[in-house]
Amino acid sequence: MNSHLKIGIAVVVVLAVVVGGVVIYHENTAAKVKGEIITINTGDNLQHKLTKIVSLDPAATATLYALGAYNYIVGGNSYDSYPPNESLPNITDYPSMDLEQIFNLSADAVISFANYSGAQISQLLNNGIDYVFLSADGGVNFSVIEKQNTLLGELTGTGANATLINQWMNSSLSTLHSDALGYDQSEYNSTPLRGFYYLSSEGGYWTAGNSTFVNSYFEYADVVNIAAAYDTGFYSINPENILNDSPQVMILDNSINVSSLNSSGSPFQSSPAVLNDKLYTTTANENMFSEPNFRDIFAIQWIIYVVYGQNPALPSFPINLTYNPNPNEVS
Amino acid sequence: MKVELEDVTFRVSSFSLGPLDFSVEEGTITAIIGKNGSGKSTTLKLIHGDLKPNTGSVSIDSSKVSSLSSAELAEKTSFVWQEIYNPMSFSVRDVMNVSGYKRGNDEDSMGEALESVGLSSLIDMDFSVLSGGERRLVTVAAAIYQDSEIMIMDEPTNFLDIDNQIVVYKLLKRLRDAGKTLILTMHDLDAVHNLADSVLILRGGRKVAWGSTSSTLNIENLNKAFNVSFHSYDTVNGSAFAGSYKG
Amino acid sequence: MNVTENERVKAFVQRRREMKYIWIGFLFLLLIITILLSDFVGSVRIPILNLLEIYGSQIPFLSNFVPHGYTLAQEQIIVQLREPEILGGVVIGASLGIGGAAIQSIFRNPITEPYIIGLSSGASLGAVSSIVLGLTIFGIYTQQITAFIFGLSIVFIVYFFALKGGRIHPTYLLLTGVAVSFFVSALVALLLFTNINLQGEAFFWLLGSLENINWTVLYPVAIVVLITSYAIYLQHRELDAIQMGDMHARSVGVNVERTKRITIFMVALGVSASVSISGLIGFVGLVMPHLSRMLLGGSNKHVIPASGILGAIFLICADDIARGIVPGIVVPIGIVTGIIGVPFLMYFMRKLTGGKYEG
Repeated sequence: MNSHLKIGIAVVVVLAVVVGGVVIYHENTAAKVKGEIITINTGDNLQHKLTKIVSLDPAATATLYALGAYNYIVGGNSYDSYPPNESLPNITDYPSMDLEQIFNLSADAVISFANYSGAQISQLLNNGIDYVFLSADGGVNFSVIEKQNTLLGELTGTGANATLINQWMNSSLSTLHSDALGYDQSEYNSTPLRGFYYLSSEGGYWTAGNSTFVNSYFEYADVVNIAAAYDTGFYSINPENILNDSPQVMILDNSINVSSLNSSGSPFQSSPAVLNDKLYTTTANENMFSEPNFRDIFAIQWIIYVVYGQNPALPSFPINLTYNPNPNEVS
Repeated sequence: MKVELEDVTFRVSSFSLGPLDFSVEEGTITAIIGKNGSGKSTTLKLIHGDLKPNTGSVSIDSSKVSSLSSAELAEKTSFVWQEIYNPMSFSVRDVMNVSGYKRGNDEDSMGEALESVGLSSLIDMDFSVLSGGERRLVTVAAAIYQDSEIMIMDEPTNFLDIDNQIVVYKLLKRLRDAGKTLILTMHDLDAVHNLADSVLILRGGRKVAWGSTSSTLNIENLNKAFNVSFHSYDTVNGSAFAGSYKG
Repeated sequence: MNVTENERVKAFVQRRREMKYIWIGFLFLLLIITILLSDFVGSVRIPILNLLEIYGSQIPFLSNFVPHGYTLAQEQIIVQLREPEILGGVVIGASLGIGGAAIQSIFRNPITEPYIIGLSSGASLGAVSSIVLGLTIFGIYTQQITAFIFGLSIVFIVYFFALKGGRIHPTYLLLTGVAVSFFVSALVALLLFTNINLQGEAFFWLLGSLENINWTVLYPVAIVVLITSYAIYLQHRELDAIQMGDMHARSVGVNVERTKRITIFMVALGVSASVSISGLIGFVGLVMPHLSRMLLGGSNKHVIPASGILGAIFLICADDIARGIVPGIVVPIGIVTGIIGVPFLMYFMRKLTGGKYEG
């Protein structure tokens, strides 16, 4: 072994020790109390209440507002739509969380529904920031939404309001469902209509399959979601299935061009929904079809309104809010 | 150092070489001549151990080439290749440094080796901007710099003008006189005649003749090796060969 | 040649060699400056005074004398976010540059890079399968660890497929690498096809990013890259020889197969480790060795360290652009290296080669 090699190896060893020392030093300077990952399964296991929340989930922003915890939000996101006139700083959430902004706001928790990388989440936790993960994917139904309400209520010390909202949701759901069954009986002899939710035409016929909160809207409105039979979650349906099941009513996302449904080659061209013009485009309530939270009740109300032409009454919302949570033109 | 080939045969697809059975004495120049494709370069690679003979064995200094490590081999032999890769952005010095891998680099010897081919001023030139002849000379200088007892050269005078050919011929003689053993392939028969101590003549992988230059390099053997009718004539410098194509 | 001319040549030679060390020193200084300046780039503006105080507080002993006028958030942003990301850029850029230099020597081919031996496709397969199959066997760092393991494994597979009679022929290794990469890429596509919802996440991994680097993942990768880079550097004379042909290398005394084995293994280890935490960052491994050769000549003694330093500088600058071009949004760095890097390469190729690669 010549002297150059010895020196080289010595340098490498010293550098390795230095790098190790620097890293250990930095890991020690990170917050002593680590953050927690919180989901509806873990429940609220914190010793403190959250008071500086960054919400990267528009559904959670709306829920926190309804719970009376809006003052505890220090950062929102560009998709927040309720409450309107939001004055929160927008935190970048795509393609990754902007951790600098989150740290700069001295946040104590981040609420999100997106799959961020493990490394980013561990950065939050290492710096004492809790990560609240709320699912927005397949599998979310009204029972999950209620659990999320309860969780957010407990985390922010507004559990009593969460209970009130859940009670309101339950009574609204049973009211809406029995109303829908009644309208169905009187108009269609209890033969449920075949419905289809057209979410997006980007690269296929995107719709909501089984085990989605949108699918449960159809169930409560006593309409058969033809897409539920073929797949779960949000997916792109084979047009042959559309032709075969021939929907009688369609709920369209407002990105869908209605005239395209009638064009030649469209699997919807010969469907009763197009022929009878039973096409209903979402408007201000568009977000109710993408955000699972308590306001989804109003989406069911709207579906029943457009499908049966009836206006079912809802129990009044139990919490007095400055901004009406109901986005529909009907009330 | 002595190089010995014993009953060496080599076969690859349709080409077969040998059997070759000869030994090269220390401090001599051995030339291998023959037509293109007659097996000259293959013979050199067999001697250097780059190709493994199907039968027989090659030994250098009475140890088998196949059992030598590349480091041991490099101490005994150097090789001037017919073609080398154009190494990305190498200077002449970098090329020389590579040949000093085993002996360790030393500026003075490197300068001397380059000076022996008259190119010491090019040491920091980019190798790729040199002319074909200059590159050839640099590779010869690199082999000298490697400082091994045996030097194997595959057409060392390729690409060289007449001036530089003479530089190389003189250099080869000086190396032999310094005790080096040289084995080379060449096309210039007159140079072989003037330079080589022994000659191996090949045709289609078969040995036509082997022996001292005076006994081997004659019209009879050349006519067997090439499709040319040779005759010799006298010049002021001695005899020379001329040939006409046999058609 | 007379004595004075000889002296002149020697003086010139001396100067040329000193210049190379000055160049490397200059590049190293440039790297340090780039690192320090990059700490300013980000979506939150941090005043220079606070930044200097944070630097001071990180130096043992000195920290007691430095005023602590900065906020906890500022310290966290610098120490926990920007520093590991920038140092990650150094480590990854260096490993790609050094790996590129070594691989180009082995293949004697200026258009190869470390990814060519199956590394990138293997690492993609690891990362994408962990995303699509939802693997969690290694905890939150499953994706990084599977990318590392798969990257390394595919290189081994390529190496053993290319092994013929105990020797590795460069062309055969190259073709095997390309073939296996195609096969593995098809498997990646198949995995993505089965779960279209996860294509976005996998897509971003494939474009590469430095922002998932924290101290915890940086630590092991930095050690691996340090050791493998040094091991590659130790081979610089052997790699020089191999650059002139396998047979020539052997004739000057180089154990060609051993050198190739060590180099390929070290490159695979270092670059797999890097790629596992950054995703696929192209371009650095391909171009930095060329830039080094243009500046410092072709000897690997200089090309290897210079490629490492240049790779580090380039990657940090690309990351600064990725973070700074749209405030708050981090554009995947693979997009930046391509869009900024390629015109830059074309310019330098014309400007600096001066015909060196011709003929």
